[in-house]
Amino acid sequence: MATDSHNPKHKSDCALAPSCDASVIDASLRAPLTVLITSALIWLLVAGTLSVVAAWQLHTPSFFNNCEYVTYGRIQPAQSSVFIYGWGFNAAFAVSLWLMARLSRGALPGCGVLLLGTVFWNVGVTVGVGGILAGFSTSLASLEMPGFATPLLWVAYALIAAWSFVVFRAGRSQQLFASQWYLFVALLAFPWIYAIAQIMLVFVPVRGTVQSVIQAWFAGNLFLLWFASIALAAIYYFLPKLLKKPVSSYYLASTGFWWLVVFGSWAGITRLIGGPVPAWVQTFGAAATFMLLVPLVIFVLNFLGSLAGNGALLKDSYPLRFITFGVFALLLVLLAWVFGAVHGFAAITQFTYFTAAEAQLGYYGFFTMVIFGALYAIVPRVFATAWANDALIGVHFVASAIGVTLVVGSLAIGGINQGLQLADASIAFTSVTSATLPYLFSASVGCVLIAIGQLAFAINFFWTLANASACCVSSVKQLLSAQPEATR
Amino acid sequence: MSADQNHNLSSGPDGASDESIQKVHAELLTNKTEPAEGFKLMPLFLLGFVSTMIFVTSIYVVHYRAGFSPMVYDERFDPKTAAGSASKELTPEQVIAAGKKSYQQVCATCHQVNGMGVAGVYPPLVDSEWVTGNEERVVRVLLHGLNGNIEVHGKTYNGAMPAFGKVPGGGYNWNEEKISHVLTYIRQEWGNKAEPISKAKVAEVLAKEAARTKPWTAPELEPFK
Repeated sequence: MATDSHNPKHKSDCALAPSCDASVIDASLRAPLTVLITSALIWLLVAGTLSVVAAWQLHTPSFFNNCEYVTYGRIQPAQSSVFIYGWGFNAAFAVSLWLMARLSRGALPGCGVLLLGTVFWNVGVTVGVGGILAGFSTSLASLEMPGFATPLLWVAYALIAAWSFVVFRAGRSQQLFASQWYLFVALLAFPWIYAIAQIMLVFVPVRGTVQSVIQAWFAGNLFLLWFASIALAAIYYFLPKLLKKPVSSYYLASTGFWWLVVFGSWAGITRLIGGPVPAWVQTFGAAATFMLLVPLVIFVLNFLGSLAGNGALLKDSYPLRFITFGVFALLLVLLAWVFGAVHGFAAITQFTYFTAAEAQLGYYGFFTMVIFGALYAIVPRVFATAWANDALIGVHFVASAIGVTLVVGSLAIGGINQGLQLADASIAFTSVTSATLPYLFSASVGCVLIAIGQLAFAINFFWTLANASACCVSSVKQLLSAQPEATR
Repeated sequence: MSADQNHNLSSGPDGASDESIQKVHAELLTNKTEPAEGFKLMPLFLLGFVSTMIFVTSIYVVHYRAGFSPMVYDERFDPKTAAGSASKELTPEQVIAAGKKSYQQVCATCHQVNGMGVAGVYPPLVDSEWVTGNEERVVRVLLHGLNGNIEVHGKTYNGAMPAFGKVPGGGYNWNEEKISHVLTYIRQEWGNKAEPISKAKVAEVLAKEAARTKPWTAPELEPFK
């Protein structure tokens, strides 16, 4: 059984509350997490397949070029939307709900509306991605889904995210932990930035340069305030839990939090350096990005300080391995943002494959790897069973780690090379493009490795789910009888 | 941090319990100022680091703010140096427009908008050899002014042309650029077809005649005919 054993010293805090028993909380989340993680994994497999196709088309343009629905111009935005809104959001919902329930020590009082929201969300993503493939893409990066799909997503988001607040309200915990700060920021920031971006770019588009400013602002915030915040919440929770010791220099965590939230929301504009926006906008974006050095240093003290001297634990704990990989990716991606804000560096890397490498490092190396680690820790607790196959976890980690390193490394080196050649007027444009081919090829090999890892994860998850389903049936009955208690 | 080692998480086979994670970390937050082990280097380092970041970034913003102008796309823009360099590169049309503006505000009072002047007092500028001829002469007239009789197309005029340049006794103090604009305008308007006069030429003449303190007379200008 996956219940936490309580130290008698702390037990008095919640002795009267039935909902503070971790097993009751986990049981109440079993149904919604099954649906959320299952849909996340299906979208992840779709995204993995699409990314291999898109990556292959970059260096072999004849691949699938006879059918308009699968040309690069549609596959690439479809892949990005499936990955962000299909995998990223479903997984983030699952992890944030579980973290919030556990940390607030509140059980989910019922899951009908939540399941309805999940269905709406997935229908919305399906309609949106279908719209992209049919040629209705908005052509705005990370907002490609057409306007007829997105209002549904917004409603679905409200139906899903509200439950994190419900379990917080229902919970017995008197203390707020760092993970909860980040969860609140993520859950409250997303509807705001998404509504602003949709209204000002899709429904009532603003004119001219302002569009690119809003788009960059949205993309930066989507990463830092939504995805990075959810992943940071998971890191702050799982590091002390798995290492069995407090986060080192924890008193700095709140400073890091505020600097990330306040300056991070401006930092996305950095990607417009050298673009057609007024210089002072670029300067503000760069200044805000430089400020990210402060949370970066604090994360080093918090996370690497906790991990230092605990290398031996990495061997036994797969969740910890994924999360440690994610921590290093986070530090690297913040560093890449800061360097990208320096004009001399941006002059080379801007508008090359380097920015694609940065996005891969952030979305896959950091967010996705941390979420994988979190899911490896959450699933056995929620389904009260061990993972079906340990070898598959090993395959998943090795394939993902090598795959991400290969994709990010080759795109970064290829991008810098491309930028240096583009700046040299004596090199013809076509030879600059053909010089990137070997890098693109090794990046698609990396995409294949990543997809193999995803397949291993999916097989393992559905296998585990099948193992657990026998006792699941009985536990649903248990859950129904336990609920009146849990809601109190 | 050694302070952290005083706090132990209660843990089972499954990892640390949620309650102990929250309780211990809450204590760490509230007890951060506890002077248990004396001098701490890390908070001091961070204070210095954060202050440096604020200081350096503020300087960066002020230095590259580009006047907060919506029209400036290069962060190295400096409005002080840019004002001069921007007007230096006026197109021929802009030069004519600038000259026309000055002419209509000031010169047209005497020489008239159509450049025909007033008989006996203000000479015409249209097809006048004084205007379209040697640029040395017309620049001198404008810079220092002209008194006494002058003859244009066989008729005599006797007015007082004021000094427009930055010269002793000049009431207008026009800079070289403005003078070159208005001269280019009168040399190319009303069917006049003479070469434009550059700012550099005006400056050159002004430097040559730096010692002059009073307006010219027609005989004095004979050498520049």
